[in-house]
This record gives sequence, C-alpha cells and structure tokens, in this order.
Amino acid sequence: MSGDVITHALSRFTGRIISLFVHEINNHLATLRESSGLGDDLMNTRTLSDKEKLKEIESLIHAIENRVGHASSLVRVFGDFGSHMADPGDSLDINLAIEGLHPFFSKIARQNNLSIQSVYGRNLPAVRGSFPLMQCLLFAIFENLCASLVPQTAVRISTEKTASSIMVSLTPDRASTAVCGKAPWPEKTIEAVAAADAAFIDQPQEGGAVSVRIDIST
Amino acid sequence: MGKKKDIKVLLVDDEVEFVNTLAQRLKLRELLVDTVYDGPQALDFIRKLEPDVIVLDLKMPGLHGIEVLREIKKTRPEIQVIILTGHGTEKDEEEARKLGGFDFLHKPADIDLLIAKIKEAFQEKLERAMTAITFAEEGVFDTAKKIIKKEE
Repeated sequence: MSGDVITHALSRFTGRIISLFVHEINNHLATLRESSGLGDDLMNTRTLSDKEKLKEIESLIHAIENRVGHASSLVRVFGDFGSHMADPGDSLDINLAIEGLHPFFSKIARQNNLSIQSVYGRNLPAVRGSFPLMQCLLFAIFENLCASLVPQTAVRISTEKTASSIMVSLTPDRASTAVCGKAPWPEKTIEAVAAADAAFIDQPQEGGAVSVRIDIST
Repeated sequence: MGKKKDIKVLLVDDEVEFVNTLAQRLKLRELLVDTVYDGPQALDFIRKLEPDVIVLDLKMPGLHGIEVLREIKKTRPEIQVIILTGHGTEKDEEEARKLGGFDFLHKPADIDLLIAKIKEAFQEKLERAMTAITFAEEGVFDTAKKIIKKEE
C-alpha cells in the first residue's frame, strides 16, 4: 500500500514540475516572440527616426539575450531533474536537491505573492537516499507551507549540519494561519515519502516553520 | 467591422516584460491599449473605465484569471474577454467558455491571430449592443402604441 502512495506521490511531483516548467518556458517563449516581433515592427515603422529605431532595437536585443539566458538556465535545471528521475542513485547532496527545485519554488512563491530566500550550509556530507524522493518530499512540504501563508510573507529555506544529521528548515517570517488555502498534499502522503526517505519531519514549530531532519548515518 | 483605432484593449498579465512589449506592438497597430499586472488591478480598472476587450492571463499572483473573468462577467458582462495563457488546461478552457470568455489562446500566440480575435470580439460586442438597442426601440414603440390606443 505504501508503495502505491510513493508511486502516486512521485508521479504527482513529476507532473507538477513539468507543469511549472511548461508554464514558465511558455512565458519566456511568448516574451521572446513579442520582443523579436517588436524589433520587426520597429524596423518597418515610419514614426521613428533611424537613430531612435537603432536605440530601441539595441535595447530589445539585450532584453532577448537576457531572456534566452533565463530560459536556458531553466532548461538546464529541468534536464537535471530528468536525469535524477532516470537515475535516482542511492546518495544525495541536500543542497543540490534544493537548488534543483529553486526555480520551481520561486514560481510557486510568486504565484502566492510570497518571496523566498535560500541559505545553504557549507560542506554538508552526502546522505543515503533517493534524490527524486527527497526532492518530492521537500516540494510537497514547501507547497503545503505556501498554501497556508498570507501574501507578502517571506520564506527562508536553510540547510545546516548538526552533530548527526542535516536539517532543512522552511521558516516563514510571519505566522501561518492554516486557513489560507487547502493543503495540496495530503499529510499521509508526506509522511509516507518522509519514511521512504528516512527523513523526520519535526512537528510544525511556532510560526508555521517546518524542519526536516535527515540522519547522516542512514 | 470596427476601425482598429476605436477598439480599447486592456491587457492583464503579471509577466511585465511580456505584457509591455505586447502593448507596444498592439499600439503600433492602432489599438488603444492599457496594461495592468494582476486581477485586482483589472477589476479596479473596469470600475472606472470601459475597455472593449480584455486579454487576460490565468495564472497570476493572488486572484486567478478564472475568478477575474467570473467577476468581470458579473459586473460588466458587455466587456469581451480573451484568455491568453502559458498554462491552459482543457478544464480551464471549458470553465472560461462557460463563464462567457470569448476565446482561449495559448502563449506564445501569433500577433495577427490575437488581433483577429480582438476584432471578432469587438464586432460581437457591437452586434450585441445593436440588438439591445433594437429591442429597446421596439419596446418604446410598443409602449407608445399602447399609450395612443388608450388615449383613443
């Protein structure tokens, strides 16, 4: 039974990541299309002088370069996501797992009128476990947290090493109300994924902060 | 078909660079264009001004586009709404059309297609307004006939 829950969770996680990626890439493509189209329009307009056109088009070229950079970066992250799904491995770097989710966390935060800040602990040892399963757990916890927060809240995502474990903490700067929205991920699913990851979710602390503890020895 | 420069368009999208660039392109094609960047701003805008057509994104911070559409159709049903989204599911499209959305387009959209849809939406709005005037006139005429008959 728990195998079904894990399979369903991973499937849902994959679907969410693909959905967020498609949305973001479509926005990049749409902006690129309009920017290049505007360049074309400006070339053909008679309302601007050649000097003005040149200035506008130069500005557009920089905007396009910038946008292609963002899109490429997102595609790279998505490619890494796919690689880890295809080859989960049996050990993982927690910071890399979170970094791989960062563009999607940013998007979810933006959609909920929230902001995020990441603070990564240094020299964290690798832990035993499945990379995509750990990402699935952190993603589910993050989405649920965002659904409970009021707009304009800032969420700090931090990692640190303790004597025998690695702690991942998601700390909002305002107390969550728990009534802002329905949690997208059922608690039982999160518990099952955490168990499969050999991760322990500390009880929600005051202010809605959530911590995940992964023992180094596992 | 209405002249392009008579058509007032409101663009609603949280992707600032995209919506500002699109606005520039539509203005070069002689549409009258305003832009806002979220649902509450759009609803605030239509309280004060009346666009003919709204081009509306779905996934925006705060208020979802479907909720914005629902509110527009409740308070200003004469305004035509075209959904333009980078993330539209079949369910979203069905819901939008049920709420009275004129059309549902996916980003990146061809500008000539978008303008054609804006013009179609505007034309439909004009035709509806003419139909309403015709009924009103007939109503007035019928009332006038009753008054005359009564007097006779």
